Amino acid sequence: MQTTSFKFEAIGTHWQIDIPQNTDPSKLNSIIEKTTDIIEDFDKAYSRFRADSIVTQMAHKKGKYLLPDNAKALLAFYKELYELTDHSFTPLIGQVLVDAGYDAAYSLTPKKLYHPPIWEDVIDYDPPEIIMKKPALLDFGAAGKGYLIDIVSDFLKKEGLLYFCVDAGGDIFYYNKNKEKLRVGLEHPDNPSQVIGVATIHNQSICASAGNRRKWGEFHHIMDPHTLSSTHQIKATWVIADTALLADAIATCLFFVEAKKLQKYHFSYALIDKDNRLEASKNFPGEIFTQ
Amino acid sequence: MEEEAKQESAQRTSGGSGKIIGIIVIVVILALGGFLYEQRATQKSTETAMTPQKKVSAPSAGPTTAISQSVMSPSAKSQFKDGTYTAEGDYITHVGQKHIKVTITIKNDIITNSDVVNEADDPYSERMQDSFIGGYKSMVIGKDITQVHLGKVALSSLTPNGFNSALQAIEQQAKS
Repeated sequence: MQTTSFKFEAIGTHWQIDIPQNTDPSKLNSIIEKTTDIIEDFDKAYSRFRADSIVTQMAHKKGKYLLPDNAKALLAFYKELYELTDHSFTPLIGQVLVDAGYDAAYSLTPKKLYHPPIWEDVIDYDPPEIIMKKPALLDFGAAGKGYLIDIVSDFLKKEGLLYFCVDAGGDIFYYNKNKEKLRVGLEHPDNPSQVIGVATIHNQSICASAGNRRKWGEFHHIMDPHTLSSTHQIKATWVIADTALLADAIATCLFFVEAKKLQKYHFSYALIDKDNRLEASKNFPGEIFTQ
Repeated sequence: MEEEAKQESAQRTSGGSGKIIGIIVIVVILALGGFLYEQRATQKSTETAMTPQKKVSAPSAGPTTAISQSVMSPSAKSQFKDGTYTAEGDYITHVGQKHIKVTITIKNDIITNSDVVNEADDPYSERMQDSFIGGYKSMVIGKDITQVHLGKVALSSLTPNGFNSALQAIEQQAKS
């Protein structure tokens, strides 16, 4: 498939979207424009890194807020995983990340950390309205990017494209009306010039998470709300699922719980622990290089 | 295909003394390492209630019921005879008896290959065994990206652009 790519920076990462090269130029322009709008709308609702977002307002003042329609699926899924992971997977981790130094200004200077509040003590969600019983900073970093990849992918499908690949900083959704699969390298977390395996996907998403990305001092971006420290047992995870929302969220959950705790969802995974030992589900599509 | 042929030949030459069974059971345990040891230690609790909440709820290998072996070639001073060995493991769950098949290849007393086949017949046990099968594998090795034909790379090191530049800035400040 001959493709044309458009690349841009958004939500703190690098995006590349590939679509068929024979796409009409005016259609290509309109696709780029609408994709940018979709991402901007999402960012303006959910980003804790921008002062004008709904999430930032919710962190400052308790009360009633109106969320976009797509918040319903996102919050419902967060709540399910919140319960399944014994509250480890929580959007209420926002303030912990900020206090640890991962704030909007990237100060990376840790302060004293406090345990995040219990969901029900803070959030009362009756779509499309959310009531913040007290101000709290929500962080959708664990699944928000995956969800946005899905929203963009749904748009591209509706545009009638027979092929596309959305790659947001190594989290990917690949669609091809033909049977051709995409080979995705699993980057070695210790060495970006190497891969530890190859996954093959088709009309699926692969998302990855690593504890040695976004690392500062003793912390990285995955914080355990129970210990108020970053997780150390798992080095990196890769998850393949039908949606990027699921793949992205599970890639983070695997830092907290064993895969079998998440077995109600349909996914395959590979992870390596701190000693580079592999654990993979038998249904992982592809090859992983082991000694 | 190769695996199947190996298994077939294993079936054909099946049979062995109790002593060999004992040795093979030990070897299988060695092959599975501490992981299996942990399973066995908690066998009692997994038998009574295999709840997903339990830290150890993958199947534990119980008594070996069937053993076959193949490609026996004499090897001087070896503790074990070279060959491919297959053992069936049984374990009891709250939904009945389940099987798991372990095949290992030994050469000069070293396990050169191992394979675990999931023989569970209900979805729950299947998943438990799958996570078990995934669990004992060895260390990953990296291959240069240039050696492997790829469309994309997941876990991009380029991901956190703003973050990385901030980190570099802070490191520079710390040095100066």
